[in-house]
Amino acid sequence: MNLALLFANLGLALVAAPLLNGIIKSAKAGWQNRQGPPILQPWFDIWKYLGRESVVSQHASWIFRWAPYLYFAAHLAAAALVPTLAVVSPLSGMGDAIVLVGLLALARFALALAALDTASNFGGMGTSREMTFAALVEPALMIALFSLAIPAGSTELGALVGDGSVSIARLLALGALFIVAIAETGRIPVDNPDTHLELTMAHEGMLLEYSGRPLGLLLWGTHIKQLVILSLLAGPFFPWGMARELSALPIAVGLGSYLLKLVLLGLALALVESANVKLRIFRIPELLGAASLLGLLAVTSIYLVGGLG
Amino acid sequence: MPNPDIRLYLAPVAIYLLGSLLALAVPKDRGRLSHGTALAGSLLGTALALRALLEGTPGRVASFSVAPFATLSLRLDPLSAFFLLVISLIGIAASLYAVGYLGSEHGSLAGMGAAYNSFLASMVLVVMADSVFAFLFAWEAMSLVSFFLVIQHHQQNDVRRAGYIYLVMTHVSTAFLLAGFLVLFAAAGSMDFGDLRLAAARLPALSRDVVFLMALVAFGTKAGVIPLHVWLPRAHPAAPSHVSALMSGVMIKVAIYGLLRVGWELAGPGPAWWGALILTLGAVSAVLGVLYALMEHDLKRLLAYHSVENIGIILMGLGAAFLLAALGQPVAAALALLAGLYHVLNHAVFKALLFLGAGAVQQATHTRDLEALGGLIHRMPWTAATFLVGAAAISALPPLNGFVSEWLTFQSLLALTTLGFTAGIGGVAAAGLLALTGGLAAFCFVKAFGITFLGMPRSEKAAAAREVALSMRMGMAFLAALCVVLGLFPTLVARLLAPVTVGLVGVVARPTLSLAPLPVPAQGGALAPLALVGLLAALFGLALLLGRSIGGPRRSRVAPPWGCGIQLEPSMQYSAAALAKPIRIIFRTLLRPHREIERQHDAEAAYFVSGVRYEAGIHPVYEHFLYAPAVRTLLALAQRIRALQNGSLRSYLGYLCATLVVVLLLTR
Amino acid sequence: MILLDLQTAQRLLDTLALLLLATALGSVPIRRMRSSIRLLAGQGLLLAAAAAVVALATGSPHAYFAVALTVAVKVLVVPGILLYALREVRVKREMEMGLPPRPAMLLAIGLVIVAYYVAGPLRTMDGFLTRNALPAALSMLLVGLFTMLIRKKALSQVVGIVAMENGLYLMTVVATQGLPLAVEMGVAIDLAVGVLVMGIVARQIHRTFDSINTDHLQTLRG
Repeated sequence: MNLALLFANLGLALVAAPLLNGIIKSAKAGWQNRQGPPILQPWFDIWKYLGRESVVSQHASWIFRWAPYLYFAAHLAAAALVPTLAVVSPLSGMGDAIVLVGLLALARFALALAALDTASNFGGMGTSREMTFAALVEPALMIALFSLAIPAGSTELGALVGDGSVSIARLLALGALFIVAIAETGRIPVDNPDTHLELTMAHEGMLLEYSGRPLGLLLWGTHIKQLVILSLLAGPFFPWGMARELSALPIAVGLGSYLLKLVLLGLALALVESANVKLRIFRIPELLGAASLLGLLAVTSIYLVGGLG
Repeated sequence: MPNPDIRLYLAPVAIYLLGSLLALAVPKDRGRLSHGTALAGSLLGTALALRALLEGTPGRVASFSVAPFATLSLRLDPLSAFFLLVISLIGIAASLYAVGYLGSEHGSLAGMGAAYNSFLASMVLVVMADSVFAFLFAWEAMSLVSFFLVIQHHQQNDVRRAGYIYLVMTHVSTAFLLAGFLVLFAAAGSMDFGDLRLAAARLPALSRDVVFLMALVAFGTKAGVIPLHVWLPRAHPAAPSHVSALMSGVMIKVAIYGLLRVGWELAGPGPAWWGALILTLGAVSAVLGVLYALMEHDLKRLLAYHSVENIGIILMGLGAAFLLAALGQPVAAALALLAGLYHVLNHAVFKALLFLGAGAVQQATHTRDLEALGGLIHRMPWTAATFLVGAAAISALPPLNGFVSEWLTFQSLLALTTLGFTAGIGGVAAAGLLALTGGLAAFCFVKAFGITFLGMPRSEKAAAAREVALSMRMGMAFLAALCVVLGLFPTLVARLLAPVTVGLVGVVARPTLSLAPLPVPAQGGALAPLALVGLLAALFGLALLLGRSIGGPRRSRVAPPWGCGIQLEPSMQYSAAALAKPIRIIFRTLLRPHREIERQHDAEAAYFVSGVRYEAGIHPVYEHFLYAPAVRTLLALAQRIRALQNGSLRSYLGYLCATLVVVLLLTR
Repeated sequence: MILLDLQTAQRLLDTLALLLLATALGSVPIRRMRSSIRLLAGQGLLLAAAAAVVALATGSPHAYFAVALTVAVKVLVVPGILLYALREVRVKREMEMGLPPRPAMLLAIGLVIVAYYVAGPLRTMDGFLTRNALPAALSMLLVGLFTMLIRKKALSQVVGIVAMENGLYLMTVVATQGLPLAVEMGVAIDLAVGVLVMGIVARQIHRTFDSINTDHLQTLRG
């Protein structure tokens, strides 16, 4: 375990995640030919919510009260696991890719229960849709992770970081994981992160009854999750610039390249969001099925083409 | 330390039998005496099993002949000891729970107490059996006693029907088992497991394959593998809750024991296609099981389908083990065995916990229908808390025990990928299906826990619920604590399972699990649950800190939830069917849902709807394609043969006479 | 105390066996219940005579006891129960037959031939297994079963069972020189109780359904 890397990861997650969301929003606005909110807006929102009074449903229990903290902690723990600046995971030995998926599932479970706790219908609707998508994303995610793990020989996150070579297997896996990223971050074409209309809500539905400090933590946690997913894309597929040794210069280069990669990936997400429409809910399984298929093709090509890079 | 007297290992069975006798001898007993005895027996069983696994097993424990071919031999080896541990642990919890649960039952409890103790005794005898006669005797005893336990509430129609189907399926299982043993006897010439083990290497391949297939059908029926599982969703809910916990938690695991004992030890690890078959069956059972569970709104039937799903997961681990052993990878096979057997223990613990919780809910609200429950977390806080632990465990959430065994299963499937294209693709596809079941299971338990305990009560019964008796809460709390312990200290379990894997594969598994509170870098993917919990706790505290430091002291206010301006009624909440609807639509080819809506009109006014009748359901695939045709052909055949049975006494006598003459002529 | 030598005993047994065979064949065309029960008693008497021959030839005391038992059960008790049942049931004295007498007789003779074919080679000349004894016994069994087949009234079928048992008894007498006493007594009690039960059941059937015609009983099938 490397304390410095750990704190760097945590700090980056806490500070950069809302900024990343702001950048994506601005980019979307730019592409859609409107003036969007300032880049620091998510920070302002979190600050505002953390200080406000929270209104709790009269039917809610302790689950509603404590779920946001668990949600936040689980996503932050996932952020601590992912290799960002360097090629090693700061907490290698504690968890691997499967543990990462498990942490995301833990956060989702907590939030889903909290949504049902309020006895509000929007919570039920959001839970139903979000859990469906999550269940269908899991196989795609796992198959894609396996396609990265087979050449690496293990599921250790540090080992999943590639060496920058391009091969059919990597491209297919990138396709699969990109679709998974869209689904996990709740962006168009899977879900609309900006809407509060019940017809179109999935993730947002679960947050609807929250207000004040818990809502602030939930939003922050969601931004951190987005950061984790994009880091998961950055490491294996775009490893250039990641530090191979833990000394000052490579770390600085790693930091710079990491931030650059995050911004570029965020812009890619924004582009996809602006260029597509939200799919009908019952078309989404087809999309996610395609992602699983891409993953399986990636695995097949590993064996057939023999390219392990 | 020298081993205690070998006969001490027979003590748990003796105590259980004593409990049966006591139950019958003291008819006024409200279950305290007989279940207290069962508790004592289970505690002793746990202690003995732990000692055996940690310090070495005694081997043959007893043997006496009743007749030629009928030798009752008992033996305790590491595999038996592990399953004895599973039986005893759940026995502790269920017996503890039963003391309070049966306080509210009417009617004579003497029969139930006796049957309960005999059930535990028969299961222990099955895992300790060392000869064909002993195994079959104990197996049949287990089936019959559990049948009596299932039809405890035989006044209800569906309970009787469930018992009938259970009886038929369990005898199908016994028939195949008998056939398998006979083939084994014919090939190896002995009814004693010891001799069969020695002869295992010299069996001809065809005999091995036949024995394996017979064992797979027999034990698959008893374990609840699709498509032989039809009895499970009917029988488990029909039985009283502590019995359901034992049946779902332990009895189906005894079937897994049988599969390992006969399929692996006696018929040899076998060729690769055995493992592939088990793996495929496991994957199918897992996915279909969880899909049907999602469609259920009877709490106990939902849990029963989840047992089918988890048996699928166990079989995936064991199938990988068979496959890896056949492909010459003993260390990886040991890891897969560890994964499968760890899941056996885990599933026993959390499934029993969930069934006990469902029983508590049923006792408090007198209903099992999810659509009539709700808001129980305020009225039954302890039950809710333990049920939540069970739900999180079965959804494979870190850092509980379900996650550890799923992690191990994933690692074993990864090990398959180093062995060439077919094994690799199979492993990855299985991993994808495992991930799908994990996701769907989490969804299902969000639904089950959320609809039952959260929100507003959807009926009067739910609103009037009260927390259950102390002994019931203690039983559930014991299992919840066990879920946490088994999740946080996996290396202890690995150590307990080490002699088992040595016995079966010859090596010890080396999983990269760690007990260290601070993670130590390891080769390959690793899991350190204690460290993970520490991290989560620290970050939880960080969240609290950040909230307070940025926002100041916490302020909150209670208000009704937003209902778009309408007063929120309990019936307006999301229902269980509504939550699961997306899955019902997405998987409609598998589930074949059907729906009928009938609008009833007033006599005078044809445009005013006086009522709407809505009926929805699913047609299970296997029933349509497998059981219905089979039953139809069987009935048609029986109808033809019935022509012989014309009711005339004289024609029967005629049959007798003709047969006698023919036999006499033939044997001349 | 041996009072007969082996040769004479064998000749007597042979004759008795043939007589029993004749009674068996003779029971086929009988139409009246009383007559067939009387024939049973006659068979019993002949069996007692066979047992007496064996007793006189072996001289063992329990063989005499067997004779007494045979007379008691087969000549007195069983026919007595059957006559009592007959009175209670109040059927027509004539038995309805499922087969006309001539074909029935031919089939019965055929069964006797089968019996001789099967049991013939089994004979040995030592002991009491005379040439005709075993085939006669087997044919009594088969013809008894046959008469059960062709009679329609339930009570007449009981007569058939007793006839079968008579054949078995003959077999045991000649083949084993008398069964052990306990077994004999057991068999005798069995027979008596069996006939008693069958008589009672026939009476009950008649009470419930007003008929013991098995053709009518056929409509009861499920």
